Amino acid sequence: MALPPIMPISPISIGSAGGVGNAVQSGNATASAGTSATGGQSFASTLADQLDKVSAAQANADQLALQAATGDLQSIQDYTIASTEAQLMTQLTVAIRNKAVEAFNEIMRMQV
Amino acid sequence: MSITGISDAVTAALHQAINGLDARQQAISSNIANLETPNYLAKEVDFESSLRAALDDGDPSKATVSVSQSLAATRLNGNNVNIDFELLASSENVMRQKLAVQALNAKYQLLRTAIGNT
Amino acid sequence: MSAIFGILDVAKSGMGVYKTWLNAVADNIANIDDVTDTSTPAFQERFVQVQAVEDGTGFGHGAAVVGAEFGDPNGRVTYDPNHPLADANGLVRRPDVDLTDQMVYLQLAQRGYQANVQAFERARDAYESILTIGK
Repeated sequence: MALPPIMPISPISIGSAGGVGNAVQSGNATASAGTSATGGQSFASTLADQLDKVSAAQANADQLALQAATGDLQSIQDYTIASTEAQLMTQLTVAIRNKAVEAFNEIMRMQV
Repeated sequence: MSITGISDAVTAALHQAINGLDARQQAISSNIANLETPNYLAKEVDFESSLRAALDDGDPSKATVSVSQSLAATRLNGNNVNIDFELLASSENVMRQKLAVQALNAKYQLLRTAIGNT
Repeated sequence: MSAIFGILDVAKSGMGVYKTWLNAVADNIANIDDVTDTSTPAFQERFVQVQAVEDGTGFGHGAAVVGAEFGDPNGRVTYDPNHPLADANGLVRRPDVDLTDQMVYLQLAQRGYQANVQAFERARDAYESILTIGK
């Protein structure tokens, strides 16, 4: 019923960046973007997990907000805490995305 | 109620709740103004049942606000407004309005964060 | 009545109970000098029956007036031969209501009412502070 959260991130692109980043770190400048170095994959899956958690946190806050609207909410701290946590998790995820994009751009700018 | 694509069921429900609480605040104020008016029956507002039903159906914007007359016992002049009840209801209503407004703001803030204008 | 701000309902119920008691005591005091002839019942003292309200959590959910009781309809039969309502024996009925008792009840009811108003305001302050979480 709710809009899907606005998350313009695709784990795959981050994974590639992670893969390239890791290859550069290991000193191999000719590694291809598709290299599945262990570090890159876990970053991608970590981010994917994070997105799931943020989604769940937002859905939880939404559910409690609906209860607040109809007057059925049993304890308001449940709602205010859930709402604050969803907000913080979203901000954290956006910050991670921004840093990852920044890192990707940095790497792409490097002279090979 | 919203014609843009940015609202979802939660913001619509909160919007309806704020409308309902507004109406209730007005009814309470009317009741207090008519504390001793002969034969005046206290007004009661209900939007919660309509909102719950609308949410179950999936479209909270269809919720309506209804007004009814209190069935409480009347005094000698036919008036049944209970001042304690109305003052307390007023206090409580203000807090529910704060909660609903806060919830709506929180939703919009979440969207802003995701869009990138933290 | 309110699930969200439940404590406000608890304080409200307390205020209602003490208000009712206040009314009953005021009624008793107002009628304390009612004289009736011996063939009709005297004014009966009003008592309010109150019970605690439970809601399943065990933490309590206020109080409620569950009924009223009335005192002795015989009242106090007194000898007052000059009273217009006196019967053949010079007797009339007066209510069996003690003024000192009623004044004490009046104080208790008033204090109880005020205490519940305080309880309401404190609960409201607590709720308002919860609403600031995360701001």
